[in-house]
Amino acid sequence: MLFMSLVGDLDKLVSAIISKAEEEAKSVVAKARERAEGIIKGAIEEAKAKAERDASELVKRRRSEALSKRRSEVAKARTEVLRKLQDHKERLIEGVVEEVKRRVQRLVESKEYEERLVEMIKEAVRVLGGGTIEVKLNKRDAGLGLDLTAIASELSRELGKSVELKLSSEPGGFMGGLVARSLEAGIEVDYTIEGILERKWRKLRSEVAKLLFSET
Amino acid sequence: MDEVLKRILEAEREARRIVDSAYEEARRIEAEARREAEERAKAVYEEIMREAEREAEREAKRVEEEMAQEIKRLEEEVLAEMRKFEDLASKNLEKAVNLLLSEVLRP
Repeated sequence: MLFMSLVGDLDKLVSAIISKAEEEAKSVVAKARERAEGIIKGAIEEAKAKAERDASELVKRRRSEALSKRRSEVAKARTEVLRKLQDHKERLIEGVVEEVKRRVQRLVESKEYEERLVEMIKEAVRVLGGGTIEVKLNKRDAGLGLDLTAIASELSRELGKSVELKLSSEPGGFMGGLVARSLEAGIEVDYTIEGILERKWRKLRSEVAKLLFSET
Repeated sequence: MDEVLKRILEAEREARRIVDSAYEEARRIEAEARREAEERAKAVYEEIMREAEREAEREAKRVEEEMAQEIKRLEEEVLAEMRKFEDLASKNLEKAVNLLLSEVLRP
């Protein structure tokens, strides 16, 4: 009887030891699963936070690069279109000179031009101060039959000194006007149409441009 | 009595084995969790970065479209200016030519 009782108590004891171990085992595994969940959740949250920082940085950097490219391209385009506009205005301004040249071609065939040519010769003589002066004209003007002797006499009276005008044997290759050279002083004045136009153009260019683009 | 002690010792050994096995399982679970955490964190990171790349692309495209529009507007403005200058030059050509022409025969 006593033996049976002892055996029954021993079984209970053994069973209690195993049960306690199984409970501890369950608790150990449950805690491990809880930690595992925490590890996964923590890692995901950390990755998400890092990704959000990196993503924001990436978008910010790309936007900044795109804006920088835009500023540079727009500035380049602005310079380019302003250059085109300036070139266009230059062509329009130069068009005035071209038109003047075309009209001068017609003008040099008029009576008015012949009178102006005589005045230009007189002006050249005044500038050179008289003396012996060689006058170079183009082939067409040389054939006009200008009375250089009469012009010289008139200027001689005006200047109170001797004036002699000699027509150069070599015709000038210019549109009109003349080149006068003092044979004593060795200096010359360029009163060719091209020379005058160039000098006047330098002086009047901005005035012509202003007039050309005037809105009034 | 020896039999009793023997059974108790056996039960203790079995209990130790059960607990050790549980710790072993716990280590396996945690190792598996770390591996899974690494994989899932990588996937989450990559997905967010892919979306950021797409957003950055959209943003760059939008800025590029605005740039193209701005350049087109500049070109149109300049074309209008060019036409305006052409009209003015055409209207004032005679005056400008006469100004210069009147000076050409006056050294």
